[in-house]
Formats: sequence, C-alpha cells, structure tokens
Amino acid sequence: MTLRCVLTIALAGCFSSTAAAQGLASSPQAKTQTIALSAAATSGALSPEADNAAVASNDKKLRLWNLADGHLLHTIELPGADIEFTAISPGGRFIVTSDAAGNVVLWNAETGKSQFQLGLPHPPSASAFSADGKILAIAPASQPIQFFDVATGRKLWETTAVTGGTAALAFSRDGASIASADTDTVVRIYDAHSGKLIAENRDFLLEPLAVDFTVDGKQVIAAGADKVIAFIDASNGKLVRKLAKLDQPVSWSGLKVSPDGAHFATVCMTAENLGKPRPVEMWSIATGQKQSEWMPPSVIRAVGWTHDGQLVSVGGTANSLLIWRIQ
Amino acid sequence: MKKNALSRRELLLKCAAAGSLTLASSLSFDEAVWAWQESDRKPLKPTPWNEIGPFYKRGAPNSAQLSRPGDPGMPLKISGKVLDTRGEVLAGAKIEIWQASPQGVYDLDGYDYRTTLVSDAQGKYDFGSKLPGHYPGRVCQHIHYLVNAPGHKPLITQLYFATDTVFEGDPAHNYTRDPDIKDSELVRPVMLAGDTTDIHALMTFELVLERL
Repeated sequence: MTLRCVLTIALAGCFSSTAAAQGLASSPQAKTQTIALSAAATSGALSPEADNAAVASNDKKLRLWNLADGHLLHTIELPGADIEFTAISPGGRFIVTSDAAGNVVLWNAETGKSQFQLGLPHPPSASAFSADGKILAIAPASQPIQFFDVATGRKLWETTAVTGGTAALAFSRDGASIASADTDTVVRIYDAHSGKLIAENRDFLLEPLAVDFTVDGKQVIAAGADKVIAFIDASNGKLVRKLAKLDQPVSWSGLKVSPDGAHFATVCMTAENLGKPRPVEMWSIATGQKQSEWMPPSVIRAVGWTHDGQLVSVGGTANSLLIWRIQ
Repeated sequence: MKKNALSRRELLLKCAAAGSLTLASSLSFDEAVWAWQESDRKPLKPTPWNEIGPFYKRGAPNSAQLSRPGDPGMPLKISGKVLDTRGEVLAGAKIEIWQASPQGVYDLDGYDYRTTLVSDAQGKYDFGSKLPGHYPGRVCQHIHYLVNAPGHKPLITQLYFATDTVFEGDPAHNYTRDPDIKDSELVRPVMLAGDTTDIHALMTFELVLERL
C-alpha cells in the first residue's frame, strides 16, 4: 500500500508521554530533528542502522540524508515517473526505488549510477537487504520473493508464489534465513541461500504486517492486523508464545529488534484512520512486558535502532523529514 | 416478421445434412463444433489486479447478506459471473469478499462485512450488503475480492463505485484521484432500483481469471 511510504502527513500538536500514566517502567522523551525538503516527497525510507534516510521527491531527485547531523550525502537524478517505493542497504551504499509500474532501480548512492534495473509486474510491497548488504530480496505485490546479487544484479532464486504476496521481509542477522509476513496470513521462513521454505506459521487470521528475527536467529517475532505479537520458532514455525492482545494492529514493518537483542520496538496503526498517530512502544524480549511508550505528534512511517541502541522514528510532511530520537 | 437465428450447432447440422460440410475423419461432430466455436470466441481480458490491502481475514463464513438488519446505509446488491479468459464459466470458484462498514470501518475482531461465496453451476454469484463508507486511509469507496478456482491464477481485485463523489460524475477520467485505482475498468456503474420505500443500488461485476 502506498500510504506506508508516502511522506504526506500533517503535523498534529505536540508529543507527550503516556508511560507514567500507565505505570510503565520508563517515561521516554524524544529529541526532535527536522530536515526541510526542497520538493514534495513521494516516498522515503530509513536505513537498517537508522543512520540514513532516503527521500524521493517530485522534483525527480533522490536524496540521501545523514540523520546524525542532517547533512545531505548524495543527490541522484531520477528518470521517469514518481517513485513510490524506496529502501536503503546497510551502510547506505545502495538505494532501491520503484515507480508505480514496477520499474525498479538499484542505485549506487556514491556514484549516482544505476547498479541494475528490473521490470517487475507490480511495484515491490516489501524488500530487505542481507546484513552484509550482498543480497537484496524484493517481493513485488502478489508475486514470489526474488533474490538478487547486489554486486552483479544476477537473480539468484525466487520462492514459490503465495496468494497476495508479501507485506514485510527481514533477514536473520547472520544472513542464513529470511522471514516473510505474507498476505495469505502466513509467516514463512526461508533458507536465504536457496530460497527453500524452512518453516511456516499459520496461526494468524489476518495479515501479519511486520517481522523481525531475534538476534540469535532462533525466533521470528511477527505482528500485524491480528493485533497479536507472536514469537515463532524459526526452525519449525511453531508458536512459542503470544503477548497480550494489542488494541490496534502493528503497522507495516513496524517491529524492530534492538541490536543487543534485549528489546523490540513496535509501531501500531490506527485501523479506523491511518492518518491518526499511535505510540511507539518498547518491549522486553525476555519478559514480553511493555516497558515504555512514546506518543509522536504525527504518524510514524519507519522505526529503527542505531548501532548504539538508540531508537529512531521517522515521519514527516510533504516538505519535511521529521526524526525523533527516543531517549 | 421475426427471423429465427440459427445456432452454430444447428447451422453445422444443416450444412452436414446438405453435404456442404465435410468433417475431417479424425474429428467427431461435437469436436468440430467445439473447435469452430473456440476459434471464433474472442478472448476476455482478465479482471485487473488491485492490491489486497491490509485487512484481509481468512475463514470468513458463507453469507449472502453482509449487512445486519438495521444497519444504516444504502442497500446494495451485487451479482456477476466468474469466467476464464475464454469466456467459459467457472463453477465452484471460491470468492472471498470484504469491505468497510457504512461507517468506513473494517471489522478486525469478527467477520462483519466479510463473506466467502462459491460460484454456482453457471458461474454466478450474488450478495447483498450496504454501500461501504469512505475508509479514512483511502480516497474511494471499495469492496475487496479474492477469487480462487482450480487451474487458474488467484484474482485479487477491488470494485469501485461510479457514483463515488470523488469522481465528480466522470470516473473514466477522474479514477486516478485514488492512486490505488490503476484501471478504470474496476469502477462500475451503479443502478438504482426499487421504489421510494425500498430503494437499493444494483451492480454487476464479472470476474475473469487467467489459466495457470
């Protein structure tokens, strides 16, 4: 769905923490940073280490920003139609873009040149880079997941098709496995070196929209429209445990495990109104208890952890990129 | 005077009886009829794909009426056929349908405004509902479909309403006001039927699947 990546949202008041009122372990504050955009954004993405953000704008330019200091790192001239899907590789070296027709380009951010191009039947609904940045997995809407060698553009393998396609993808930290949250309501785990199915979990009735591996790669945490956060054994697909039911669905790719493996963050959507913000929530993996939550002033589009364990949330308006560092 | 048209089968029979048609020895008469009809049949365009959206829920019970008695909103009756691209009807196709309520809300906790239908021997399906509300995350009113038939690619699509105020009476040109509508074919006319005491909207939506 295009809404998840289009940075066209309205600011709505000031942020406030609700943690104290709910007796949570901590009451976080957020440091706000704003990057002004010179043209209206059509799509944006946060890098896996939450240190860079890429924004495609209607002035036919793709810009990569360093979030630490707000410095513009690279500007790439975009041909063709407006971009509606964007993703960044670890380290920010490569950026994937796609227009509505499924014309996908992998850009080398440093040279501004195309690494390779793909003509997909539909734009991607999800993508992920392996942690070493060498493999790119792309799931075009309603199509199998396709794996590419980033260096050569060679297609390595693809999974078997599932009805409706894939809403979210995540590689394990060691790059051995990849988990997919599929629109047929199944979470699948594949061998990332062959595309072969390892395990699947069919406990969801509605679509899972977000997945991530625990740091040891042994479990997949999945959540989505069922309003349930589920821990799944990555070797056999069996449900390990479920946390207490949420009051709203977890949003697309709105679940990220911290680098130290002790926590994960979630961002929910307001199902009745996707333009209404929901809190960023932090959970303990060991206990499954919510530890804190922070209410953003506007809708969060992406969330990620920096190497040193800082939680970064990104949202914005058509002409600004808003970054919140949750302390 | 009304002229009775001959069916293709009748025409072939007459030609065969008059000696003006010679069948190849390897073909039966029925096979020849089938081959002629197939060669003359115009292929149908598959119903355009449209994304599934985030709120598909598997296991919806079969119900020909999606709304409950007393629900507000304009009553709606939708019917159609499930076909393949050669125009052959697909009986027994599984048709999963879901929509927002007239208030524009999807039921995530139950199965309100969700159903699973099966096309009948003529490939037909029909159901009653209420006109969906405008879901705040989307521009236009819409109804989701997921259709599965053995030997055919699953069809995921959405049905839109030509009467939607977003189109300002010209859906053929204004359908792009909803960026999720990629094909104006998915915007269908809405007929009003009944009388002042029982007015309802009627729509037809054929579902054309591609063979695997």
